[in-house]
Amino acid sequence: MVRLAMWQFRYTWMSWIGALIIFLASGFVIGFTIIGVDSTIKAKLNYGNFNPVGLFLTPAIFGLITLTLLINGITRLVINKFKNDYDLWSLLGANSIQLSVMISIQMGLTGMIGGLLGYFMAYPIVNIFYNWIRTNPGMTEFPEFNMRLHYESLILSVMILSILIGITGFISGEKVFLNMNKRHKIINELYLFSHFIWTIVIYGGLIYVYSLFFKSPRKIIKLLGDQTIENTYLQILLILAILMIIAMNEIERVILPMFVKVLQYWIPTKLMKTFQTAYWNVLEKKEFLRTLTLPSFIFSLVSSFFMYLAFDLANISNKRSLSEIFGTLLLFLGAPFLIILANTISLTIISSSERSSNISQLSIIGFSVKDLLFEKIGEASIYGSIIFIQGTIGNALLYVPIMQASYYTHTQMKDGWLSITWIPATVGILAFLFIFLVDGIYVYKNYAFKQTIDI
Amino acid sequence: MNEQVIKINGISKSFALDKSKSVNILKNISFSAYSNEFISIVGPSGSGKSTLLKCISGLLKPTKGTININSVDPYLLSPSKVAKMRRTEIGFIFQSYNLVPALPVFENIVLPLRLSGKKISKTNIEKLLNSMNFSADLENFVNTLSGGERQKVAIARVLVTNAKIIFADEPTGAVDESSKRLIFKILRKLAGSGVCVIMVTHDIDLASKTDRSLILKDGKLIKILNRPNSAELLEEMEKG
Ligand SMILES: Nc1ncnc2c1ncn2[C@@H]1O[C@H](COP(=O)(O)OP(=O)(O)OP(=O)(O)O)[C@@H](O)[C@H]1O
Ligand SMILES: [Mg+2]
Repeated sequence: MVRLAMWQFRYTWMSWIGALIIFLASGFVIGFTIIGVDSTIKAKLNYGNFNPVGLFLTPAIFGLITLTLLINGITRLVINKFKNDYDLWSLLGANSIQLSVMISIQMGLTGMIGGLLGYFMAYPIVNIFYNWIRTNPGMTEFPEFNMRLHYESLILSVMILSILIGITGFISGEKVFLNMNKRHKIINELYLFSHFIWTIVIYGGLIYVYSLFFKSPRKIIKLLGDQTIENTYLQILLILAILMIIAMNEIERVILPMFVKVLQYWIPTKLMKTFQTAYWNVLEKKEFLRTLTLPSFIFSLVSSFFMYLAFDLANISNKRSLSEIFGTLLLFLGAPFLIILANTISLTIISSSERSSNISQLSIIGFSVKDLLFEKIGEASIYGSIIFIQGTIGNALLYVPIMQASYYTHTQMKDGWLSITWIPATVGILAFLFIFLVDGIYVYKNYAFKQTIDI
Repeated sequence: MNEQVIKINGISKSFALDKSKSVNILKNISFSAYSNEFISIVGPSGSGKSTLLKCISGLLKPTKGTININSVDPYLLSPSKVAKMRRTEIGFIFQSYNLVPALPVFENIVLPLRLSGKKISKTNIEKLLNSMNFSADLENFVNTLSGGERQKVAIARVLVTNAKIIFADEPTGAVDESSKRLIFKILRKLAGSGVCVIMVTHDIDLASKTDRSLILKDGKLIKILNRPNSAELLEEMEKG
């Protein structure tokens, strides 16, 4: 089986490059943790109240949980890409376990490469991070020591990553090959019901927290247990941002197709003959759209949030608490976010061929390479626009409570309404460029030098 | 004595086109097949030959009716039992060769053996390929081979498993005349040695050299000819 997996890996290694990005990010996170922990232990500093081990472990725990949740999507996509191959293997009598082992070995190998590269990339960062964390008030008592590379910690982080990826790859492979998507009816109903309750709780909570900003500060302060007015607003703003992210995750599937359709009316489709096809293409790839827009939304909301805290609500968040919030967020959410971002890049690369699957049909009916590239520009700009619109709406919703908070805490807002567009615009443009780059390269590579087309 | 190895009982197959519409591709087909028998399935394009072959070989579940292969209904087996059946009891040969592009010739041939964890003898494989006039390198990848060579690899793969039932969908559809004769000879010889071969073909000449011909039209089995000859076959196909 190992041998067969190696053959298959040799044949398909190109498409594993896509998956390598997320494994690299995970390798970085694991490398970060292992280097930190290993160096602490080697320096004999792993004791007491200011034991750095706990600090280093946090990113790995949150990061690896995120990775195991996302691996399913990657596995599914890679299997789907070579569906014909795996159908054939199963026609020849390979059972689901054998197929899953093959996938698992290939993923484990890619994970090894990711672990190896990630380890070395983590080394300078863990140094910088630790030295910075120690400058934070309340953290200055963490001991000073130097990070070190060591072959033991290298092997350990490569092993942990490849084994974890191998096992989760096997499990999700087994799910795909056995077609285990079909849930039992009762379980399905139970799931739907609890999901319904969850949605109500989230939206109820969101509306409630939102309404707090329009109440008198005294009431809110009482509610949260007597604190300073600044602290109170800081806390409900944080809760609001988190609720908004969860709420967005819930509603994304419903509103995305609507966005695409609305865009269709806004942008004059007659302008380019390829725009119409671009719309259909985007609409068809809803899942991809979601994997792209959700992290972008989170990113633009969180960074705008910090922007407002830093520049507008300076009294709420004096420099000290801001740096603390940032450090804590980085510690807990940095790794998951990095991995989610890497996942988006991985999925974009892996699914590029799928997104362009109808391209060969288009080129048969007479689209030139230039037309095809225009079509890709159309698609990429739809993705970019949706990211921009969503981010702006999210920021607008955030901006009102920020204004309220600034009013009640007697600070002058420096940023006007226009500021809600800055970060979403940046993220949208970056997404546009990235998708156009990936898909454009794909189209160019496959069609520019081809005289004949295989259907 | 020839044993019954396949029993098809009243199978129909329809495909759903959308929520409200569906098309009937196969209509109430029944027949049996025996060891030592070479059966051909003929009929005009689109009459449902490939669909029928897929249904009886356990690849496509019919909408109605039952199928037994060696007295077992493949659609009631667990996925791992199905996999085992495909490795040991049945073999597939398709017009499109169905070779694994990632594997070199040799690995393609022994793949079912590897999947079953069986012993592999390289000299036996070489002998087998020699007897088929196959001269390309065993270490080559399959995409470097010609159509005829690819089909020989696919057939060699079936031969090494000692499958007792072979399903072939236009195995000679895309190969030259001499490969076609050779492939047919191999299948004929297999049927003579106890194997049950079921072959879909467009080739009236080949069909006339099989033991029985099932004639399909619009999804219906309109005629079964024993020891068919070309004239009969042509007449039946034209009649409808
Ligand atoms: N998955 C499917 N969904 C809908 N219709 C299908 C599907 N598969 C086959 N058909 C239809 O069933 C009919 C029979 O197809 P089939 O491939 O069995 O024909 P055939 O006799 O093998 O033809 P040929 O000689 O051209 O290979 C065709 O009209 C085809 O369009
Ligand atoms: Mg056919």
